[in-house]
Amino acid sequence: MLNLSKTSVLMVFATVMSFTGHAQVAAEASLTYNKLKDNNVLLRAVLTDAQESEPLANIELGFYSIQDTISTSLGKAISNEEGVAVLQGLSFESLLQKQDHTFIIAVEVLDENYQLTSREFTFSDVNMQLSFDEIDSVKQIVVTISTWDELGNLVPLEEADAYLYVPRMFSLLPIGDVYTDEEGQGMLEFPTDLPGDLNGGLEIIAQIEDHDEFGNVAVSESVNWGAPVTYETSKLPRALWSPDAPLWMWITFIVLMVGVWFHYGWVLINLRRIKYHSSDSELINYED
Amino acid sequence: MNFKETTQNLLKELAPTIEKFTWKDWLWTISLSLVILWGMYALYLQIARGHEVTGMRDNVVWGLYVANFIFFIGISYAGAIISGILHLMNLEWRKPIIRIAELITVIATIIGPLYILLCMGRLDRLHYLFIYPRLQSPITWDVIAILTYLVGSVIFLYLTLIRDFSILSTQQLNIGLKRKRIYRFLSLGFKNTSEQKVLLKVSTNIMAIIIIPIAIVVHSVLSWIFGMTLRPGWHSTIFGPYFVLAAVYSGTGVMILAMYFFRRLYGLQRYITKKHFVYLGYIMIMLGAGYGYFTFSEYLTDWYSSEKWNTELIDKLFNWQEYGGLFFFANVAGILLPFIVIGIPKLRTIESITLVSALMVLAMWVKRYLIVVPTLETTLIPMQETRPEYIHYTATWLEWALTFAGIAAFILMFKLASKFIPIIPIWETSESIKKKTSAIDTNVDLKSVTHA
Repeated sequence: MLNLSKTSVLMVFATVMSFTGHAQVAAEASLTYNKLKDNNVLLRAVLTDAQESEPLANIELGFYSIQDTISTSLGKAISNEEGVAVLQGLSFESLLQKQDHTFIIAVEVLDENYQLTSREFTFSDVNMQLSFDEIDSVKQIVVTISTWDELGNLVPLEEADAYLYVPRMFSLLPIGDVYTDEEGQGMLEFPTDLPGDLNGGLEIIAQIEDHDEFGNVAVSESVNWGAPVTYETSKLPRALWSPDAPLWMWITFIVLMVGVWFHYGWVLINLRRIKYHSSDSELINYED
Repeated sequence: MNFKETTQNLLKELAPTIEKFTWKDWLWTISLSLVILWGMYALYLQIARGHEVTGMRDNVVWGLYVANFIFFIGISYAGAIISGILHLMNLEWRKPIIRIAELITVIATIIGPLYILLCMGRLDRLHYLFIYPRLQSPITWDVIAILTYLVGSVIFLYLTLIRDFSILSTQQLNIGLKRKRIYRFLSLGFKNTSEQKVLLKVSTNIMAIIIIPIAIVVHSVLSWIFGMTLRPGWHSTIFGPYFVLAAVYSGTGVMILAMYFFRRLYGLQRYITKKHFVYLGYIMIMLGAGYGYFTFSEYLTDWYSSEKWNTELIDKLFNWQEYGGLFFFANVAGILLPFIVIGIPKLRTIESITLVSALMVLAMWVKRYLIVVPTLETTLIPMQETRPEYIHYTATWLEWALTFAGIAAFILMFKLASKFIPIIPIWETSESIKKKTSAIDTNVDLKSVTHA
């Protein structure tokens, strides 16, 4: 999920000094806002020592959504060895938004050794849509990006970069990027040779990455523009590593086992015959 | 003296060992049982707390248990070599010691595989070995080979016992009716009729022939568990014959020890003589020569190739701070000492041959330990930031307790078996005595004819 939403980043630094009777530590915090393709939000804060720029580990941070005088707690997270605290699984709807779709997120250090007045970070929401056109056998992806003005009206976003990817097994495969015009639209010619699923289905992801105002925003759509691929499962050959042992191994095994156990059987039959040939006499014949 | 009288005289001599369970027998049984109980307690702790209580870890996944397993399967060879080869060669001197050899085979084949069970983390999944076998796995080969070998060894032992069971069931012995019935049942009504004689001879010959290749296969398969693994010191084509030879060699040593033990315990000096010790001593040094050659060849090729991991392993074996002492002992006591003691006639006494066999057997156990542990400590992937106990293996008291419990169980089973069946084969030894006396009589007759 984190990989899919790696787009815009907003870094805001806050320097704090507290004087509560014992040695205080000045801290700096930065926050990255990620709106994921499933409309969930991931917040990633980095806490460092203001003087040494060293990461501050094991510090609890509180995250809040603020509008006017209303502050709603979003959750808490503890920084790791790299000073990173991550809050994930937030629904986008849980953020308090103004009419112009801007919102404020505050970060607070919940440790008395790092007393920190709330640091606020402002972001704007963005509307990004993907559409697919095919003209004269040329396939094009159209990315339309809009934002909201102060009155809450949707307006095209000019001169914005968006990056397009197709998810593969281990990572996202970049297929290109678009730059929006005055209508907030950017177009990319789609490659014709990308393998898809059985029906040629592909997932296309568009991302705004590291944007000062919008952070990282991702959207995705599915389209049957890939080359259909059928994965035939061929039977594994007989081998050491496959479920079936090589034939020679079976033959050797069977010959050996039959050979040995046949002789055991023969001896056991002989033992039975010894019993059969027993005489009624109580005396043993000691003669040769 | 005819054959019947010879048999009865021999039986009279051996009867007390079967009829009475003396205070000495009780002392042995109780002492050995206590050692086994100690081992059972260790096993309980191992099952209750898991393998964490042993010295085995991620890298060194095998330790004392696997060394013991190879050792016991190895000594089981005594039966194959003495009973099988000497039987086929029809050597008379083998007869008094043949039963000891066969018992070593059967008992060691029962005890050995138990150590593999101790290695298993999930004993409750033991039956998976049979439900989901993979023919490609040397482990599967080993399970099948050992079971086949055990069945064959039991049949072979039983065949050589039938005539003695017959004697025991018909002679006047102070053993109680119930036990006599058991002997009668086990004798299969054998009365040495002409048909029975032929059937028994054919069956014994079949088993004597077939037990030899089976024994070779069993130990080769065991060696392939190591040889087919890409690890320094293991991945070697020589491992099959090397293991086979080492097994017969150590088996012969245990055979000599068992002969000495029963000779002293049951006063069998008349039957187990210096000749038996010397002849087995000769066999032992012949095998020792082969074993020494294989050992030299194995280490020379590893050393000469200067391959990184092999060199690392060789360095460990020659380093006095690591395994140098054990390696020195394994080669001096395991190869050189038997040559010196048995090779020089003046040093060749029953006691010296027994002592050198005991040291050789111990050295062969150490050798098995040196095959298993130092290799596992020489990892192909560099280990960093790992706790030292994950790299260096040290056996815990539980593993030692179970090791001694196995040895105690081996001796106890031997002891108890010797209370139920004559440790000297009555029929075959009587045959041997009769042949000897007939030869003397013939000589006397010939001399008198010549004089006349």
